[in-house]
Amino acid sequence: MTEQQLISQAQQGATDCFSQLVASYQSRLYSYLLGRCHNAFDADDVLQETFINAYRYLDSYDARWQFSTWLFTIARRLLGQLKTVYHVTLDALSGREPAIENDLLALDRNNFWRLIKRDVSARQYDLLWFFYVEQYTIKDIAHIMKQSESWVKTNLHRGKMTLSNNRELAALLEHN
Amino acid sequence: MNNPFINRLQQDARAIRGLADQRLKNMNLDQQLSEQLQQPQPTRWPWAVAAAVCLMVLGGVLLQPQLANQSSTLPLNAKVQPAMKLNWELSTGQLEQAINQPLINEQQAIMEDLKTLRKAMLSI
Repeated sequence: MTEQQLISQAQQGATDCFSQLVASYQSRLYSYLLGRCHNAFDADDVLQETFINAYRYLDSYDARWQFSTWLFTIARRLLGQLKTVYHVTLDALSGREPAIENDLLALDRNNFWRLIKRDVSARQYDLLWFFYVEQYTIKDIAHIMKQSESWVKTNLHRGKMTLSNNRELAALLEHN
Repeated sequence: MNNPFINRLQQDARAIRGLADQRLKNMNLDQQLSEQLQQPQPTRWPWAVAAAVCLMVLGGVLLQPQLANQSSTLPLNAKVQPAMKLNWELSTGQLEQAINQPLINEQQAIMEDLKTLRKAMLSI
């Protein structure tokens, strides 16, 4: 069955077809979320919520775009809500340190994506991930991020410049 | 950015993906999703109806005493209002008179002075 057939079957309520879609995209989506979230528990929650939302609102999927871009769009929106609801409300307002600290990428301290996250904004991280890892076109990235193509080009350039000027990354690259 | 940099980004992304795959094996996402999806989806319309009914009741409770007050005090207001208006006009008249009185007195004194001056001029 093709992807479009799986989607149309899932739209009619075939959960096994939706399970196949989940199996196809879970790894890509989860690796993005693991890098992006502050801890693995948040990444687990957002992954689940993304697929639940995708199933519930499958009728609103626009077939002109790739299914993966739609999933990333949902995931990004949920990440925004997670940041607001969880981190701000519970941690910042109570003045506590984050209760859960389980950054899986901390296991590999020299992982570039872990180092990048410290220096660039969340949006620039997304841009760099979608461009270099997912290898989406500028048009696709603009669609995921709900921005114009020129905005994507400008911010991608800024992100690249930030990374090029990062001495720690350059030193690691030379060392290897 | 140069090629080694991009290669390193992609290589490290593969490392993250390996980690993700490892965790997904233990997570059993499919089962978790099917459990979540079998739960009845919360519908919003009963809450909306309940909120509307509460608002109507609350509005009724809040508005009823005001309407009752208005109906009981309306004739009294109708009687009181002209008197209050009269009092107000009276008091403003008194106030105006109090302010103007020194000026009137001074004006009268000047007139008197002018009259005496005219008499004096005519006698010459």
